[in-house]
Amino acid sequence: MPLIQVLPPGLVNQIAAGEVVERPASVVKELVENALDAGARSIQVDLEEGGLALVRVADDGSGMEREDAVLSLERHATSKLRDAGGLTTIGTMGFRGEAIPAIASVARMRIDTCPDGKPGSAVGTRISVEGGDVTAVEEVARARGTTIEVRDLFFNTPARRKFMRSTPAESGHCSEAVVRACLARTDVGFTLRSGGRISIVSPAGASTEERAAVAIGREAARALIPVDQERGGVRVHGAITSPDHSAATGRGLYLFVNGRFIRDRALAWAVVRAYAGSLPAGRQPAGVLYLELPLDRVDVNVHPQKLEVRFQDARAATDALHHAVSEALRPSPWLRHAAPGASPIPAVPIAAEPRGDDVADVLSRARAAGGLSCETPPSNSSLPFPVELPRGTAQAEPPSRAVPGYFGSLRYIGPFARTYLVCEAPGGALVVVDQHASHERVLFHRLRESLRARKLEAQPFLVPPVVTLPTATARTVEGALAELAQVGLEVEPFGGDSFAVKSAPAVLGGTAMGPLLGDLAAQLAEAGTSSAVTEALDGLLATMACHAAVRANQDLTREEVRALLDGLDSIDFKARCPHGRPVVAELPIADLERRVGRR
Amino acid sequence: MELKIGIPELTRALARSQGIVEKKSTMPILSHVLLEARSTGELAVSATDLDVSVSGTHAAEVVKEGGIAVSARHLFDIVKSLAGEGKVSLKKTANNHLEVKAGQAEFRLVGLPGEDFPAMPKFEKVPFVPVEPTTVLSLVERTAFAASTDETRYNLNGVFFEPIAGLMRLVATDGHRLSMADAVIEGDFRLKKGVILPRKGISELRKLLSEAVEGAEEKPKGELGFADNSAIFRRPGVVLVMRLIEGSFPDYRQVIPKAGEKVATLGRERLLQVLRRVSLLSSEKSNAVKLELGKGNLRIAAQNPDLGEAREDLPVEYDGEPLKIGFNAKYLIDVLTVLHDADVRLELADDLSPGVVRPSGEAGEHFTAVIMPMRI
Repeated sequence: MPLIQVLPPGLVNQIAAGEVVERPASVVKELVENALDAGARSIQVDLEEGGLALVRVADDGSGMEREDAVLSLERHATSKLRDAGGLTTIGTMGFRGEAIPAIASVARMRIDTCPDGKPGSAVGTRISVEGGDVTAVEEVARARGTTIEVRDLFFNTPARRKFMRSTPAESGHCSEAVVRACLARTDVGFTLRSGGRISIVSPAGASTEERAAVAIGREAARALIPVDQERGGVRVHGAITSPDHSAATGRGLYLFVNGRFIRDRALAWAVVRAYAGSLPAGRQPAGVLYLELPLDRVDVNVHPQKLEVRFQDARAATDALHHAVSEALRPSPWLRHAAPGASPIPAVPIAAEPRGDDVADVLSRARAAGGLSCETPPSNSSLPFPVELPRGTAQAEPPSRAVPGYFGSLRYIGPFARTYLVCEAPGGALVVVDQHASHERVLFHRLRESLRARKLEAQPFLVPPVVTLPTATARTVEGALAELAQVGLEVEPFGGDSFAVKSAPAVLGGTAMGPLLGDLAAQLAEAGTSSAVTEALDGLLATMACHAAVRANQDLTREEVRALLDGLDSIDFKARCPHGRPVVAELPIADLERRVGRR
Repeated sequence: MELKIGIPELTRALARSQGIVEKKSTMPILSHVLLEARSTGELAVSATDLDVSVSGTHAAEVVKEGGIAVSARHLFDIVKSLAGEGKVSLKKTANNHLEVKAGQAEFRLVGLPGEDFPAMPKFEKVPFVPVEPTTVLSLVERTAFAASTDETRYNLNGVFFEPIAGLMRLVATDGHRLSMADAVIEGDFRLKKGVILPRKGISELRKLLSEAVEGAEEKPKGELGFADNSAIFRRPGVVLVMRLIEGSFPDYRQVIPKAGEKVATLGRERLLQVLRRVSLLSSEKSNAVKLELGKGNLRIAAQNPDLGEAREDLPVEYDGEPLKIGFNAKYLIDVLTVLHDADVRLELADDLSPGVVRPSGEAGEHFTAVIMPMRI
């Protein structure tokens, strides 16, 4: 007798269930995705005992004929994929034909379904399955659509059942699955009932913001800034919270690729990076971002639960995401009141743009950024201030006249505690500006611009330091030699996992090369982009700015204060110091009135 | 332990220890100095950070022998504050307290038992070679500045000492520039290969050497020897021991270019002044200056978009091809500052190859500085 045997189909399905059906939430996810693929306009999900006792998903989608319904219980039976060619252009959520048989093999399942186009007779099919075996196929009265009931999940796999968490925890996972579907498809209505109580209702056609409020909470949703940009064939839209809101984990950040929720550290990191130090250390933003790119540029057939995708050009995706978010954040639109006569703020293009070698060009650009000169700026990324972003890409819009921005429009009242500048905003709010933090931000910005304006001078080594990296990171560095050279870091393979650093940016003189290259490689491996050098430079500049900035307890004249406030208007991320602390606090008059009992 | 010693003498002894004791250490005793009264009428003052140790003996009126370790900084501050040429009496009392008395002032310092102090390395049979402090000091001064402060490149964190038949050579580099000086010396250190002296040890050595050179002695003397991974310098009344850096020094000969084809000779003092002036407008961090070498003229220029531009011409003995090259001004200034010669030679090949600075004439055979250009 041969030692190797082909496993019986039931066991195969149970093994598949191990990959696909991890917990009740996976059942919810698979069934909701099927409903979406069936073209449903409205989906209802019912849970009992966190989904362990019952998961019922009812939709008004296309439904199935009797034969199809029976076939759907077979492994690798699907209507969504016809041939191998179709694998490269998958537009449906599912495609493997794995979920239904896998779920059926570990639960008691009932499928009620009725297809469209049976005039007169609304007769559907009901199939009952227990642990993978079909126990009954009968006729049932049913309107168009499909209802799938999954009861007693894992009743025949006690081992798996033991690993389930408490009912509230499983229930939380299930609602997370519904939330993701809610965000993915704003055109479909969702209802989630858990233990008989309605926990999510969102009608079809809700806006992204409304859906986001369900996902990240009302408070956070108020801080959302719209994002919409296309770059390199990748469109990024959605909304992201301003630095005023942040969370301890990245769970509030929902990323979708072609309508599919995914987890991707590189993409998440690209978003965090776009905040350019304006978030407090260790805090994460929340938001909902959709990446849309041609179907054939993404491989979704990577992960059993399709939580990961692979990009043909991962760099293009992270770049597009990074730029879209940083463009949306750059004008700091989260400052609450709009300055009078919304002034367009010309932004100096960030690092990825070709660096100007010509000093005159650079100076004129910096001048334009200073908001003083009225010549047409050479940059095409000027953004109108404040929130009203034109949907689509940012338009080139030459600043017409020098209008005061947020800070320029403040009326300076006087110093408080020799550290805070107390001002009145036109809308009637009390504004307090931290003089040290704000000056630090201005200086940091200027230093960074002037560094960008110059070519990074490279200081070659006479005796190159040799850095040995872990194998995986070494391979990454090998693939990015040209990129590293662009930032003045010339690295040469030195056999094995070692590299000789031939030259380094002169401004980083004295920095230990080993840790820098190590960080850089780790970032390259994780995010696909090398911001370690920029970050090392930013760190250096932040320190320089901190030392040169006016201190707390230092008296400033009115003229100095004016210059500081005007200076703040001309820079990016003005509302945060380079270490991520806010530089300004606002007290609306309404709050004040409430406190003194006027309201 | 009980003794009396002159305040100036004790101040000098304690001053030596200040650079060595660790301010922050997991071993409290390393922030202490060891005081030992000997029956020979001497007070020995020792300090160590386990890598570098110095120990000096000073004449004192010893009443009772013994030893104690006390906080180096506090004792130094106390003795420094005692004015005058008078004497101070030191007495060990119960519980390892040190009583310090001078005139009407009295201090009681909490100390640690002398036996707990790490033992100073003892060296028998070390082949000491007599050296002239003036010569060694000059070698150290002309090389130590180039040593690296980047702790990850530990093998560059010091000065390489290499004995070559009849010569003693010091080399230091931080990876971007290198400085090498040698001097004629008689004697055999019995070293198989060169060794690396740590930066901290070198800076202490420099203090002792300057002390000797500036001291009243007519012809200062000193001895240098190597044993058991340590370098020992001693002169009458004081011994300095430093642990050598383990690791191999890069093959410095490889990076010293063969005589370059473009050789310019110019006044050192003038070049130094021009560089200091022009680099005022180079960026603070990179210090980049541009050198434009033409027939009979060297133009040095710096540019900083934030500040402006600077340039200055100076006459030079040169009639080769014109050349433009960028340097970190600090590297050039460092070299020119430690030299004392009237003229220097600048030897260049092209804008990417290392440049060489050495004194013109015969002195140039005993000193070489190599500097990597900067791509501007």
